[in-house]
Amino acid sequence: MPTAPDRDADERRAELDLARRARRGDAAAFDELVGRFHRRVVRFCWRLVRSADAEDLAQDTFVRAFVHFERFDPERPILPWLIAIARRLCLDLLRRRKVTAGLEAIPVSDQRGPSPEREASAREEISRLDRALDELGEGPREAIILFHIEELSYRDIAAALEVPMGTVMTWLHRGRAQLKRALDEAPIA
Amino acid sequence: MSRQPDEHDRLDELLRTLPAPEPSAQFISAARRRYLAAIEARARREALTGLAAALVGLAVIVALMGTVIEPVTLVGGLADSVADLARWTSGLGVVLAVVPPVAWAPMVLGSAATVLALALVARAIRGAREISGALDRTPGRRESDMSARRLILGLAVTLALLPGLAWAATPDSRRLEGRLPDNTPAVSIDQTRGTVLDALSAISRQTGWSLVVTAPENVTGRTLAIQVSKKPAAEALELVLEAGALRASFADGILRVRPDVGTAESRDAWRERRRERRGRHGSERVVFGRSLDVGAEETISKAVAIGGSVTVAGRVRQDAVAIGGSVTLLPGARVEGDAVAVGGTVSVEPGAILDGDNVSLAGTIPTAVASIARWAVGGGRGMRSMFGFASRMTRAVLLYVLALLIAVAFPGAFSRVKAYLVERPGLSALGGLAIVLGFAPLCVLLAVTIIGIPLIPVAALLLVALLLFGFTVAAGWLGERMPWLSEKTPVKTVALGGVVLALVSLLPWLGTAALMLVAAFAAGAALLSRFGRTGVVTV
Repeated sequence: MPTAPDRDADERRAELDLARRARRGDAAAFDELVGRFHRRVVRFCWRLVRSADAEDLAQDTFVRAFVHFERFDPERPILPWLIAIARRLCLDLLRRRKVTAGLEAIPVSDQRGPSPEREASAREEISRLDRALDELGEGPREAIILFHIEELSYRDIAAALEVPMGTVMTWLHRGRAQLKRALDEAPIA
Repeated sequence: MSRQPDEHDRLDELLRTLPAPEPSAQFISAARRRYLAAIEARARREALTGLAAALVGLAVIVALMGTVIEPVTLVGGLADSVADLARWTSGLGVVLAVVPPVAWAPMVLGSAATVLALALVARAIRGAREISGALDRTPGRRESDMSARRLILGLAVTLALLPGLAWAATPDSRRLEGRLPDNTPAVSIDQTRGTVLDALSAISRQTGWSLVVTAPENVTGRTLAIQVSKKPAAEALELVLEAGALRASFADGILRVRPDVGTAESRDAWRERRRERRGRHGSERVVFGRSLDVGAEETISKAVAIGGSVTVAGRVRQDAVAIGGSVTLLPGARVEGDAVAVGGTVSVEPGAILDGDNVSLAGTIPTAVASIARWAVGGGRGMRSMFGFASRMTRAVLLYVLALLIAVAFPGAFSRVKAYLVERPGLSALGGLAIVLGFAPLCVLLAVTIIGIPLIPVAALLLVALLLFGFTVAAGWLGERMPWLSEKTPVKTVALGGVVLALVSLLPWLGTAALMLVAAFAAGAALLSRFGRTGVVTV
């Protein structure tokens, strides 16, 4: 019976094979890769640009990634690489258009509390957290998103953000502290 | 104590509940459309840029070769050099003495450009194949097949024309230039005893042309027996010109005849002279890092000083060569071969005899070779004329063209080495220093082992490749940091950063030092990442 690391290695090999086929123009391989990663890439793009451009940027990410696959380091997993490309595209767009986040458009799910008071409190807390996340610096925000939301490892985050692992840890520490301060400003009922 | 993990968990949980939109249902199909368009565009781009770059590379080769050596002579010289390789028995000095130093620069740069041009042609062909492959896999896009086929056909025709272009760049094999009038009568020559000039006169008499001959008498006065009967004048003229090793041009009824420089005969004579010189073996004296004196009573076959000067008071049967020094022939001295000084001068004092050529080279590359040789074997002076503005300008242009070719040919390796450089700048710098400082000791080691001597040119080529690649990566790194580029492709970043580096390199002293430094650092990254095969983080 294959162990978890074996499964990971097999999966990585399969992804690499798909990516190589996509690089050669195999549209089916491209579709499969997009199917595997598109949710996370779209989510990441949306977290950075907070607009409908996120989907467009995510598509651009996949196209660039697998059309220019020869620049990929085969020893690394694919997702951090995709995130790195997506991040560059998002930052380029933000710089070009000076896009700012529109927090009022964020839909808040109502799964947290059955009672109206609790629901209102949760809504308030999430809204505050979202605002605080948006107010973080570029590095800490991206590190928080990748670590807590996308569940990437330190190493993969370092690869995606193109910084040393120590910087990732510093950004995470700083980001968490700022988010906690923001949450503690008005204690949750 | 458990407050910290609890807070982390809470934050973690809250962050995961943050809302985010799901991708639309059309996401994958829209991405696929863009992907197919991009694949097709990439293939087209690769084919066209590859072809354009290959043409630029070939143009560079022709320009380089054309300025230094005639193509016909070059082939002869290369054949001789191949034969000379077999005679490498006397160490580095002999190698340097045998291969004409003026050929080093075009050989190295020409080789690099040739390899790149060939790689790009291969890539262009592959790119054209990919176009048709991608289109075949795309339903509903069959109508585009025709454009792909046309592109492949166009590519094939252009590639087929390349040898023609190369042929066009070489001197015309026909000896007669210009078009003869259509009404030129047929000529007959019956000459059993006569000269080349007699035959030419007979042709001009029968055709009514005026004849102007500027070739020396010892050429036109050669004996020639020829019998042609009612042949077209052009054919008869070709025969006579070939027999006399002459060339001619025709215009306005005047036939102008001149000698053919670089003919097979003169090449043969040159080779013969070299063979004759090599045939007489004797004591060869090769020294490193010091000057060589040949005493008045001494007779040696060859005098070579690497990193020092040669002073001859006696007799040298073959060449006297100084790499990184001067050659001086004192009164009473005799050198039967050439006196060659790379990065120095040749002085022949009254009463001294130099049978061969007086060759002193002080261009950029020879002086650089000389300076490196002096520095490598302990000398410390020099580094003068290679810093002239014209030399710096030539070097900058050549480097720029080569960097662009490298960026077109190896975009993947380029990006990975650049990523390695960014990720590990310190290690790359150390690697670069090791390359620069370790090269000379490596060559000395190889030379000492005798069997390693043939590897020295390989090591030199590897060093050149590393530094050229390093320059390209450094240019790309710099170009990427400039704000004017919206799309940062390897070629665009190298084009932009290369201009900056080329301009910096024009500064006296500082420019060369800066250029060497950045090229060496990036070369360190290229070496340590094995030209990008062991990249760190790449995008």
